[in-house]
Amino acid sequence: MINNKEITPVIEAREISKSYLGAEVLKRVSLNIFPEEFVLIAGHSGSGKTTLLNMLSATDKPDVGSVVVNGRDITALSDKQRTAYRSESGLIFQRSGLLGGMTAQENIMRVHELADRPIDFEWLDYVVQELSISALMNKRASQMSGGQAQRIGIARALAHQPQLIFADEPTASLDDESTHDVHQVLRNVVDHSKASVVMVSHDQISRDYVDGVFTMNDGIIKDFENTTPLPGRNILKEAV
Amino acid sequence: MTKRQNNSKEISTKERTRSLLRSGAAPLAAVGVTGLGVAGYYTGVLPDLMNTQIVPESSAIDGAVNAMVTANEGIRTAAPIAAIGMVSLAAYYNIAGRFNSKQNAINHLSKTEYSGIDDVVHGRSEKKQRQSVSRFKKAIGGVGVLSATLVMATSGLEKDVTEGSLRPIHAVTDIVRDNDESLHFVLESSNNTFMDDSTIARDTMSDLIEDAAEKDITIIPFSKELMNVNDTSSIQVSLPDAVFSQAAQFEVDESCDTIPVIVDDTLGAEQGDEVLINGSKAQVIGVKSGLAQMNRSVTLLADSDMRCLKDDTDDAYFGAIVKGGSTDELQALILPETATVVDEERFYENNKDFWRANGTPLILILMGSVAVLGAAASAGERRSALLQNVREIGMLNANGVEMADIKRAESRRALRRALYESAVAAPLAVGVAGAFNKTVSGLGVGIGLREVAVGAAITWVSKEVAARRAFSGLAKTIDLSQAVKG
Repeated sequence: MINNKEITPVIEAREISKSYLGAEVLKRVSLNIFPEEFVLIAGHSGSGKTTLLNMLSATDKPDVGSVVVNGRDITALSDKQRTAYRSESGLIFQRSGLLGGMTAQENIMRVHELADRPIDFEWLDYVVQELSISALMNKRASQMSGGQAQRIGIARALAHQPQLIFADEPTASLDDESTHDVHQVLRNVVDHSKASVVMVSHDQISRDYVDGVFTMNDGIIKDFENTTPLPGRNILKEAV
Repeated sequence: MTKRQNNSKEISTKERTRSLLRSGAAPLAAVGVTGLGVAGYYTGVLPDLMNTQIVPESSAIDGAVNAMVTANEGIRTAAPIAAIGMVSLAAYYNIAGRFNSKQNAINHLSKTEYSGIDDVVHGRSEKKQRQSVSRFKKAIGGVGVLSATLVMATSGLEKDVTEGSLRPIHAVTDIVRDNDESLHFVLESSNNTFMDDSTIARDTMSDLIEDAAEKDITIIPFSKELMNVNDTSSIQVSLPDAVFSQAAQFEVDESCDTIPVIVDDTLGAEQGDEVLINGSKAQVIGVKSGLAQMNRSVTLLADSDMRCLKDDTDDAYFGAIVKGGSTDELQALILPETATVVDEERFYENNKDFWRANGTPLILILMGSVAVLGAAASAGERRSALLQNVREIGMLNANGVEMADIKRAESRRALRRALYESAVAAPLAVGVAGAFNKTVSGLGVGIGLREVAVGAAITWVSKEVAARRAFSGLAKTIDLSQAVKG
């Protein structure tokens, strides 16, 4: 284990490996994610960051090793149980995956209704304000820009106030201002909703918002660095 | 020149020769085949080959025919239940959506195409993509409507081929029947159909009429012949002179000078016209509709005139209609070797069975082929729609939406489209049936609720199967980590 704290981790990855078409992308990786922790997985392209995130979020299964989340080995779950696990979490991807025929509001609401999980509307209002997407709520996804759609996708992932959030390059298609907004929202989620966030990002500013950085290279974690969020960034709006 | 260069030259020459041969082979082969074809045509070998037909004969085919007849009956019986089920299910989903947010979301998903936006915002032409999807969907919707229309129309055709053959005999029973009384038939054999040649000697029939009269039972003999009227195929059905005279309100005499006939409207003749029956002149004294069979008009006439037309002394009837008495009572009056008594329904069923065995399999194959083509088009469209939007479906699943719920949405989409396409197809099927009837004289294809139900049920089943197949294909191949990849 690279990072080590005395409290019980929320996520424990134990020597997980993954190969695609004979190429080993993850090599016996172990790490812990702790409650109320915002960690960044950094590294060059092809270093295994997204693959590791997929293992932690149960979007994929490791060939070897286990991922224990709150004491439960998610690698041993059935497809249905893995879907239920993801349903409890919040997943943000590099692309929004919005349905073009629905409005922003419908895209957010319907996914949660389909997954049968309640939305915290007060919290959602806050997220919507923070992401500056109020004006987009009745707009069809097919009429949005990439950045607008991505912010809706983020709101969709956070609407049920998940305790575990996985974000894969969430700001890749956003401008600088929106990038800051997204980081701030995620930081606030950690600080005030007691959630844990695992994020893959190439953005340099990500380091300013996270508690720690795992640096990956060639399928292994090369380094872990504790960071401290910059003062003043940890501001939660009155609404929350 | 070095050895290597020499080798290179040899290879080059070989290659050139091969290339020349290859380039000459295709034209030579084309000329050869054409020459063989021309020679075959002029020697008569080719036309003979073209006309050669292989007709399979096997007990398995008989079994298949019987199975198809049974299947058709099953479809026609189950279709109304399925159609009611479709409407009820759609109403249930609608109501459930008003009270349950998850059901509402599934309904919403089923009404919306996934139509992901990521490829659009990442560089592909939005307009072009939307237009091509829209055109494809419209085309498939058109195929669905066409398929439902043809299924409804062929279902109507099957009904008319099976039951339309009874119209001539119904014309006769309508004349002799009083109110709702049930009738019996005296026929040569209990398995006789109207298309068979049942023969009962006139002497036998006269004795029977006499014996029956003592028991207050009325026997009305009739004959059936196939003749040409104005050079078109026609069925002649004769009734005793007195019965015909009363029905036609025209006094028939026994001479062969005038032959009064009632014809059906498919012949195109009008009252007072003269028609030629096997070359003999006959006078149209009445025109009725709804008598003709497919491609055969019907002529009703008096028994004495039928004998004039036949111009022979074959003193036999086809059979007789019996009013009053029971089967046992009647059978007791008849020598078993001369004739038998069958009740009305049995006679009709014999006829239907005959046509079911002959016509239904062909029509069912036609109906099945249309349904399979419609299903294949639908499956292709759904598979294409699902694969085009694998990212969006993957995202839904990654966000905790169960694949089973997405499958439910696909199933509801199939139901809604089947209902919509059937609703559009129903009036179109009426038009197609009208075109059938106009094209083939005597055809009376009608589109009723049962035909609409058959079309709707088959469309629904084919769309449901198509949706399930398309979704299973996606579920087997979807790789979530790839689907959500940036």
